[in-house]
Amino acid sequence: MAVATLQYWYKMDNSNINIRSFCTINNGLIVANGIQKLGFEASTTSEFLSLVYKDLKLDYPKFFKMDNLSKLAMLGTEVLLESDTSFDGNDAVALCFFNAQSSLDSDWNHQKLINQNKAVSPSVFVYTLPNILMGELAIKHNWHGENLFILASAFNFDSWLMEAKKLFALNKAHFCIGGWVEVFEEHYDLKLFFAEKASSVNALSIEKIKTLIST
Amino acid sequence: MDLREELKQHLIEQLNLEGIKPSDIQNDQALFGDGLGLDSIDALEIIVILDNEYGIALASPEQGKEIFHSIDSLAAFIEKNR
Repeated sequence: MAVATLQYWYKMDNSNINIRSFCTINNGLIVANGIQKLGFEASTTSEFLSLVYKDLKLDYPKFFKMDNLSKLAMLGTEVLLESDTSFDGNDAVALCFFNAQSSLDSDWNHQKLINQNKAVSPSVFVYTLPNILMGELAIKHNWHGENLFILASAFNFDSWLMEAKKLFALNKAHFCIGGWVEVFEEHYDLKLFFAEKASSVNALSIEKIKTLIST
Repeated sequence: MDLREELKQHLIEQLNLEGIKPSDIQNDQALFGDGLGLDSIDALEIIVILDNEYGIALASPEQGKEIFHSIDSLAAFIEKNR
């Protein structure tokens, strides 16, 4: 009964969470806080991600060694942080992501190399787990918070909010970045949110965000 | 193509060294550490290059540090073993 009550509170009560910023990346478009920031026409996911990297003027050579799932999360995070100039660089940032296909894009590339009867590539194999992308983010930004990667058939914003609110209620984090990150071949989709334990007066409306990400 | 130039091309392609040209890599430059800055995954990838491109399996991993030091040392190892 206590657990059910707690779950209900996590689901219904948004008083302990603020969304500082959010962004979406899909179909060649990057939208930050509901406003289109960038748009590129590219024939492949890899080409699109490289164009975004160059436009953001990032200087992080390790980016080119990552798989596309990690690249997408990395670029989205850069957009989030660019859109949030008041963030103080706190390292207690938790990460929580969802997707449906895990690391299938890298798994598939790995399988293709196996089928060629050649020695498989360690740089592909190392990305055959979706949670590697959280390690890449934590290393780049020196974040030390909890991290969690959940597989689900579709993105449910309320479920993501619930996980972030749990982290805040249990004092496991003060900030949480994450959302939905999916890549398979030429399909990619990112919905990324930067939440904090409630204190800011400039929080974005959760109901308004729900409307924006559903369009 | 000269073996050293060929090796540089393989490294750039297989290790995704974006923005680096073969002419940027000196034959005697250290590939790891303060040199080209390769890491442990790159070392594994070089083992794969040796196997796939030159049919050479590294018999003893302990040799890796010496063999993988530079383009010169890699080329010398290939010339001796292929």
